[in-house]
Amino acid sequence: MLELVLIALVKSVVVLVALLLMVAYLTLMERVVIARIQVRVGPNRVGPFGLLQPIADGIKLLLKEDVIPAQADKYLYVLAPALSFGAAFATFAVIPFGDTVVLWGRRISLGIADVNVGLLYVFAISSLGVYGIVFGAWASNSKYPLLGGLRSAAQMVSYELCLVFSVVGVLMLSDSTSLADVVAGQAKVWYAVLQPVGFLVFLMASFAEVNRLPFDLPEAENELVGGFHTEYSSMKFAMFFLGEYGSMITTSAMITTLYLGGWRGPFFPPVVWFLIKVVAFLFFFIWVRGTLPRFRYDQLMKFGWKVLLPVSIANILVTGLVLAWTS
Amino acid sequence: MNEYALGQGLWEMGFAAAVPFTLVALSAMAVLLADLWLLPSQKRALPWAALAGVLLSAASVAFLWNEEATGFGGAIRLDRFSAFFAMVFLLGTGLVVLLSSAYARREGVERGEYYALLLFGTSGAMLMASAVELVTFFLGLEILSVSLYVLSGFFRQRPASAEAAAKYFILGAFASAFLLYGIALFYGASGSTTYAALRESFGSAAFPYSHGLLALAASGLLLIGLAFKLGAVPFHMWVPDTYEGAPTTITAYMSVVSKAAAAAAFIRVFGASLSSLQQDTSAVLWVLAVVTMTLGNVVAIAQTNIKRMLAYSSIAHAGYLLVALTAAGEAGYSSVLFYVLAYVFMTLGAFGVVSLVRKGEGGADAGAEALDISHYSGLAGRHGLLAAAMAVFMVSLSGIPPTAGFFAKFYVFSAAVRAGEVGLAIIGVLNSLVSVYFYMRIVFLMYMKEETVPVRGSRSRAGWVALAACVLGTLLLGVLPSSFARLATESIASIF
Amino acid sequence: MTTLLFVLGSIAAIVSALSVVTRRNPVHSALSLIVCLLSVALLFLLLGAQFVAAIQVIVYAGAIVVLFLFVVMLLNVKDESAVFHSGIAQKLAALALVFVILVQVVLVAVAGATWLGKEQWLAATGLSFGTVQSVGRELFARYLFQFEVVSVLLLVAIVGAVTLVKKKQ
Repeated sequence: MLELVLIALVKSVVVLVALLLMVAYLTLMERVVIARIQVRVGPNRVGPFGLLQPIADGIKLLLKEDVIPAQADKYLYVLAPALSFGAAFATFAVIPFGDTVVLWGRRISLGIADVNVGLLYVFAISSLGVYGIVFGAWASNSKYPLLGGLRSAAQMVSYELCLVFSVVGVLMLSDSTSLADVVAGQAKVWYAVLQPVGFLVFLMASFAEVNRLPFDLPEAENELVGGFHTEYSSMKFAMFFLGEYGSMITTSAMITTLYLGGWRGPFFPPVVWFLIKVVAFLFFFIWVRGTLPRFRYDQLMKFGWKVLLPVSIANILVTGLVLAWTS
Repeated sequence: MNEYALGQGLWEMGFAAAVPFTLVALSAMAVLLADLWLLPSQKRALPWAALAGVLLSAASVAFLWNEEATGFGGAIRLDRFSAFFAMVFLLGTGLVVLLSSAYARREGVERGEYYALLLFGTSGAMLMASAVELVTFFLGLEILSVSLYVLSGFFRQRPASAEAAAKYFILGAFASAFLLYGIALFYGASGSTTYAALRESFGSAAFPYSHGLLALAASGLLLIGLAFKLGAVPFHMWVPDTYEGAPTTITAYMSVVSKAAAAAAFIRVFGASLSSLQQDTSAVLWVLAVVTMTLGNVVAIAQTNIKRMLAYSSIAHAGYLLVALTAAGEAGYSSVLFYVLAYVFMTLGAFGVVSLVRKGEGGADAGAEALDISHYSGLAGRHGLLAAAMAVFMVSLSGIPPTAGFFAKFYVFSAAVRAGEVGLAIIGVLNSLVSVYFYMRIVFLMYMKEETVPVRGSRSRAGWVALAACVLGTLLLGVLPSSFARLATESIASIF
Repeated sequence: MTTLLFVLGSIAAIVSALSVVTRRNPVHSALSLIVCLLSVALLFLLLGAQFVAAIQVIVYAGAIVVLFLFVVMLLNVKDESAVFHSGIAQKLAALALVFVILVQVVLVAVAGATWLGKEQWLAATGLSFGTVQSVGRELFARYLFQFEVVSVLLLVAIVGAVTLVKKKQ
């Protein structure tokens, strides 16, 4: 019993630290990639190739003055960033990032927990992530954040529907909601090949879920200043960003697990394959940001309800028919 | 309850029991789809499409008339009882559709959704009457209720209609919550939601809660939900405002179909399944019946708006139905069935006349509905047929022979006397006497007074057909009641 | 361990439920509602009903309360005391109702346990009754008809909502 608890504890700490490091260097990666897309150089002053830049950024944010607006709802104002941060990282608990390994004579599965409703757990946690934004926006008691919060509430609810529906196809193929089983089911063929439509819908909907361009309406710098986090400063601001980049990583990990065979791959050890796939998707996220313009809000809602949702439902229908035909 | 293997054939699951319901629901969807492709000039076809759906379903009921089947592991049952009620609902819906064809066009609500929601509501009512499982029953009730919430607010621009919908919706949601809570208590106590299991556990002496507080609380909560639908006092608060504000045809539909569905579900749950609790429930029903009759009839006297008066009259009639439900037994319940059938003709007829009478030339609001009771003075001089039809319905509603209303009340009160509820029967008869006053006042105004405001009757042919059918039905039930009474008795026998 | 979690979960559920109705600020009420729903989800988990727990969080905490908040923020309701007045009689009536309901809940729990007996109850439901597989099996086999009827109900609700809010052509 004690040993199990210890193993779980160690795994959680290792994963959390790794995630935080990834988030830090993701910001650097984003700045460099965007700079190259825009034919600039990007950060290269702090440390060799600018590698210490994220650390410098972190220290700067920590030392800044923490302002809480006088008219803000203090309780919710403080709670919101923590919610946003927590939701992003809690998701990772059920994602398997490698096969079982033997360390010091113990079989340890790589992945914090294998819950048999893993997929549902992920959606449950990510559906709570929206509260960070909504409460933060409302608690700021200011116009731009309120608009951002409203947008994000509508957007998240709409796109989460598409997200869940598009995964149903995977669920039908793997016959299980455990993410370990989903990975096991892709031993022969990736689900991205069997579920191309579901894969694309999931990919697009996840851009909206993590508030990234072209669906970053809740933040929309040029019209809403900064959207829901306009009034935030210092570490609370940083926590929103940690949450946002953290959820980018978890979303990439989800896509990898659901559609690209998870940690499976030849030659390299599983964890390396997992990281390669995740980083590839993170690059894709940044690439899209550097390429596509922002949607208008009504276009966003129309696209979600009138295109993505019907397509994902049709995908379920076709998958079901094919499965019934072949069995 | 049987466990079904996946992929088993529909017919083996007892799909026959769900055919009438399915046909109505499918035709509602067909109407919705048809509305998409019809040009505005072709919207006149909508009521006929809806009517075709009603007839189709009625044909299936007639075809399955002598069948008995239980479907889907004891969820829904086809027997004479559900067939009888299905016919009543379809008859009511068909007549309302006929009345609506001109009314909806004139009021600018001739849209596919109107007819589709009518049909959906009917499918819900049919489900309520044929369900033999609490969840199925609840779903039927919700389908009916949600359709009615929307239909009563169909005149979106009019504050009265919006008020009608809002009041109905908020109170209805409350009533549903009570009902659902009652269902949860029954499920928690007996571990099953089928009526058969309820009868088994609550009827058995070994069951520790067959008469305890739990059974009382659960059936009380269920009773509240049904009494709300029935419009019984003290759950009647929504009735006057909703009946007044809703489109007149919808008011007619509401008073007939919704009430009959509640009565049907009541008989299935309390009459056939929880008969062991009858002693406890009948005391409550007795009080409900008395206050409902009395309040309905007394307050109706003071009304000046005809729809409001008919609303209170419908509360009073809910009271008479409660008298029959208190009497219980085969006699009591079969009188409910007869009453419901008679009520369809006379109430739909009365609301039908109201929907056809318009304000005439001269006023600023010519063509608007003539809803004030004073508008009816001198109607006989201008529209003899309309006034005559209204007179028949008023006579029938007050229970004077030779009309349907007389025999409906006769069967109810004689069932009450036979069940030993003489006091209740006497109160009922006294109430009928009170009601004669306000029903006959309309007749008096129409025939004995001079016209004050010019009115005109609609020349909608479909509307006139519906009115003629109502007059015919009212008189037929009044002249030849025995064959219909036998039908009612047979239907009741099929559920015991 | 289970008992401890149960006690914690139920205390959290009750306290947050009380706070839903006692907060004056609607957004704080919504937050309490989320906490309440999450604690109930925890109780479902302890009963082995994983599917219901997950759906509780995804649908109620994740979607429905968001819509509540959406409306609250859109209308910018600051304080419900401006909208609501309740007299002492109403409060007493509400308290009485709560008491009755509490008594009933206890009664049902006792009734269920004594009538069927704990072993029978577990046999009837099975240990795996709350998993996705068994919920799916119940839903698509035993309750197939009810499941299909729900789709009619949802269709009616959608058509109704669209009818009431659609712009006039």
